[in-house]
Amino acid sequence: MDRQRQLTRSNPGPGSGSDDSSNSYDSGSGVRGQMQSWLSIAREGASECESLADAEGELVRRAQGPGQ
Amino acid sequence: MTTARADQFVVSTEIECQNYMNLGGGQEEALRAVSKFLARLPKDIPCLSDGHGWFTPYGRFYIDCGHLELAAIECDDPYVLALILERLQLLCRQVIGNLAGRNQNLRLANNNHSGLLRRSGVTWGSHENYLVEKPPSEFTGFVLPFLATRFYGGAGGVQAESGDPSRAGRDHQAAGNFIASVRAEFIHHETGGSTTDSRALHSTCRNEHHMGSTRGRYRYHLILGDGKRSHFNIALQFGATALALKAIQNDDGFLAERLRQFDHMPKNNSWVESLHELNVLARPGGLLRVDERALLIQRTYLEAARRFAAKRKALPSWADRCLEDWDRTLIAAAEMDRAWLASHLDAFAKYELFTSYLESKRADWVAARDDKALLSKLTLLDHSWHDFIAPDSHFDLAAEAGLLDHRVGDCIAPGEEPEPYIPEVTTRARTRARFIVENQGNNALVMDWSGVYDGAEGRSSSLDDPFGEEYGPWQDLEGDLPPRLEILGRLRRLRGQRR
Repeated sequence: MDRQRQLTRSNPGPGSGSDDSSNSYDSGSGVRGQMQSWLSIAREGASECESLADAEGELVRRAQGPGQ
Repeated sequence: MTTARADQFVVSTEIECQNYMNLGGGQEEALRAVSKFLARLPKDIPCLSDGHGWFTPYGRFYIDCGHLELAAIECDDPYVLALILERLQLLCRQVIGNLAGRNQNLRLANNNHSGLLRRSGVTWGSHENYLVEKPPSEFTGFVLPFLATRFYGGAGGVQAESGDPSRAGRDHQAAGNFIASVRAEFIHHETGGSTTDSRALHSTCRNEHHMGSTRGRYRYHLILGDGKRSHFNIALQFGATALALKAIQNDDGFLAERLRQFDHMPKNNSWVESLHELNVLARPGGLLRVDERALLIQRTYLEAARRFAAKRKALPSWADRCLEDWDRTLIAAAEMDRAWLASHLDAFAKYELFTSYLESKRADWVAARDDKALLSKLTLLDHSWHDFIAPDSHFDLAAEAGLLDHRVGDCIAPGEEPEPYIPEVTTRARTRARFIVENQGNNALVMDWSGVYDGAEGRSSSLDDPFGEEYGPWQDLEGDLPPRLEILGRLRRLRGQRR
């Protein structure tokens, strides 16, 4: 149980961060570089999305009926 | 009488795909392309008919409710299951590449909802199958806490406000939430239900024997999980669930005692309400986090699975690996190690992708909540993540950029196994694959999961044992079970034959 407490201690509890806007990667241990990479990939997504004149219409075009 | 051994595992999955055309064209055109895909399949891989689709050495292809469905073979190792799913996807990519003209624009994605994600919307499944030793209805109370807290069973999604006025209030509260599991939003009952409505967390709508009429082996069919691209995530989901099920079925009192501390937990006495509550990973403007109650429950099952494994000398080697992966995942979630989580689990990777996309648009999650156009674009990004045909899907882009550490084994392309087209499993799927390879092109043969029917000779042969190494002797169909005759009849009608 001590280990369980230790493992969950650093995690903010339910609702504790619901209004916290610091929703970002920690700046240490090299993850900042990863964030930049996600941004780079997302920008490719951005260009793809922007090339679609109507994202909502595109979702309608791709719409499917229910399955199992 | 044959019963399942505690050290035996069988896992498999059935993926309903979103099929759409990449550049223009609606669903009718997409379905025509899927039909041409199925017609092309036997030219690219050994196949035998199942009456309205195909069995290949890696699984079954057919159309279900307007979706192409890929049903993977029975695997004894969840890490191999991830590699078999990759092989099925590579095969799809190869077949579509060989189609002519606009059919090459067919896209297949293993996501689970249409349009914006709303509880009143449209969903389809990525079902799970596990070999269990007891009828699933006998362990309902033991498995509900595990399933309600299995945050790694989801692939991530963004909730949108409902267009349905009767649900608007409830869905408005949820709009903009980033959630762990899409399918969880469509679960309304704790147990029972069906696969197309009244879906249940602990679904017992396929409460059936895994092999023929032999007792002691049952197929546990879950409809809760999402389709995923990360191999690690797939292996974790199926491995942890298989081990948790073993711990439940072989509990010596440890798990029952530990679970009592959570008796008070179900919200409004409903694990479904808890599922929906715990499913929220981040609210607009809020921190990304996994609820600590979910982590405590998951760790309880992990400890029970460890106890189960410690008592067994003959467990497969993947079990220790999975226990370590499960532990590492719970630690990362507790510490909210976003870099590790994003590199291993689909939901957390998508969260970083979506957050970065919003940043690139000088927006954020609060802005997205009320912006239908932004939510629509995030949904298109989601499609791209799950698209396993386009080589430049956002999953593939992330992998190429070194952002994912998801592989669990070397990639084996279709037919590149040491024995071509024979998968690296010890289940009956290996026996079936050899039969398919040896008999490809024989249009009189019709397969199902546990047998083959010879329409030309009027005979059948069974492969009931999930680990069967050879088909049973051929038996004349006269006086045999009606379902088999129905399959043959369907085949004859399809081919206009009379026997």
